[in-house]
Formats: sequence, C-alpha cells, structure tokens
Amino acid sequence: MPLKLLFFGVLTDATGTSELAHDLVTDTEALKQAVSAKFPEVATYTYNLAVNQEITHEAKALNDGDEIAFMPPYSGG
Amino acid sequence: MSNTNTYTHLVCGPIHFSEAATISASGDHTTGADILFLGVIRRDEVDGQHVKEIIYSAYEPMAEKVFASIAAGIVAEHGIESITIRHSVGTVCAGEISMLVYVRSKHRAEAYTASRDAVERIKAHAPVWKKEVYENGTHGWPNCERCAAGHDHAHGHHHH
Repeated sequence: MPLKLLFFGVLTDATGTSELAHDLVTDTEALKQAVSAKFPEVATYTYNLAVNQEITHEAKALNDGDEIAFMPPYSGG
Repeated sequence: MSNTNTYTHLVCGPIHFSEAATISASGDHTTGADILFLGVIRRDEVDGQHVKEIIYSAYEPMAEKVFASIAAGIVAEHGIESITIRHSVGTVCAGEISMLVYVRSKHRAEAYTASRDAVERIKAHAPVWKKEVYENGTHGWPNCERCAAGHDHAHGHHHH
C-alpha cells in the first residue's frame, strides 16, 4: 500500500488537491523533497507534517500505508 | 478513565445558538456558573474586499482527538464541571457562529479562566484552517505569511 498524502489550507491551492497517493520513500525528508519537486510552490510555504496524526518535526522513517498530512499554520478557533 | 463531562465535536456548517440552550437545560444542577464563548464570522475588509463567508476545513480525525484532549485538560486543570467544544467545518457566512465553547462550573472564577484557556488552546492546537471568500468571489488564507504580504504572489484565485 503506498503512502496517503493529505494537503490542508493553502497547500490545497499549491498542489491542486487535498489527497494524493505516493510511492513509499525512506522518510519524511525524502517525501518533502519529492512533493516539492512535483509541486514547487509547496516549498515556498511553512508547514508541519503529521505522520498517522502525530506531528513530527524531525525526519521520521515511513512505512507502507502511512498517512502523512501537510499542515500549514492553523487558523481555526 | 472515561470522560462524561467533556463534549466535543465538529459540526457541518454554522452552529445554531439553540445548541447553547440545549446544553444549558441539561445536567444535574451541580453548576452555578455557565460561561459561553461564541466565535462569530466577522465581515472583515481585506484589501478593499469584504469577507462574505469562511470555508473551514479540518484534519478531522486528528481535530476530534485534539478537541477531546483540550477538553479533558481544561476540566482537570481548572476544576470545572464540564466543557462543550463545537467547531464548524464547511461554509459559515458572515454573522454566523463557527465555534462554541460552553464551560460549566460550580463557581465563576474557574469558569472565566477555563473558557479563555480553552479558546486559546483551540486556536493554537486544532488542525483547522479557514479560507476567506470575499464578495468578489476571490479567496485568501489567513495566517499564511505569504498571503499577509499581499495578493500579487502566485496564488490561485478561484472564481465561483
């Protein structure tokens, strides 16, 4: 099962989508690079990643079936 | 430990004021102070355009967990009796309610502080995003540092 990527906020404009399947890559850093290569505008925004709903600030190894959310600064509440 | 004194969920569309009445009428009369916070959509002016509506989106399963965690933390740390948190997803028009935080406690001191703390924690930690839709049909993303710089950067303007 590939990775499931979710995009939120302004990143849905930057990628044109809110959800994308992606081949497995080693870790979150590799994923960020792959996504930025495909959607250069993504690299111009600040965002956090959550892997399976847990925010991660450091490079985290990825596994088949992981769900990775690309989350710009929150603006709810 | 199960929590029967925290009630949190996402709501599709605007929140209705009558929900506060339902909460107020519920319970077992152990509380003497109710504090209700309502987040309401302002008809802000942004670059000469007024906000017509906000479209909220959320990382829903994570948002539900965050609200539940905030609610449990607020009850435990402030010593209140209960808290209800509701937040809209989808379209909410100017003047309508997009968030409800209803705190109930025995006495007013902790009700005031719990209410404020809950709202601040929701704003800081809930994975929720708002898209402002302006009267001319364009949109923007508040809290986007590039958006704050102005509208002449590469940003899709979607016309409806």
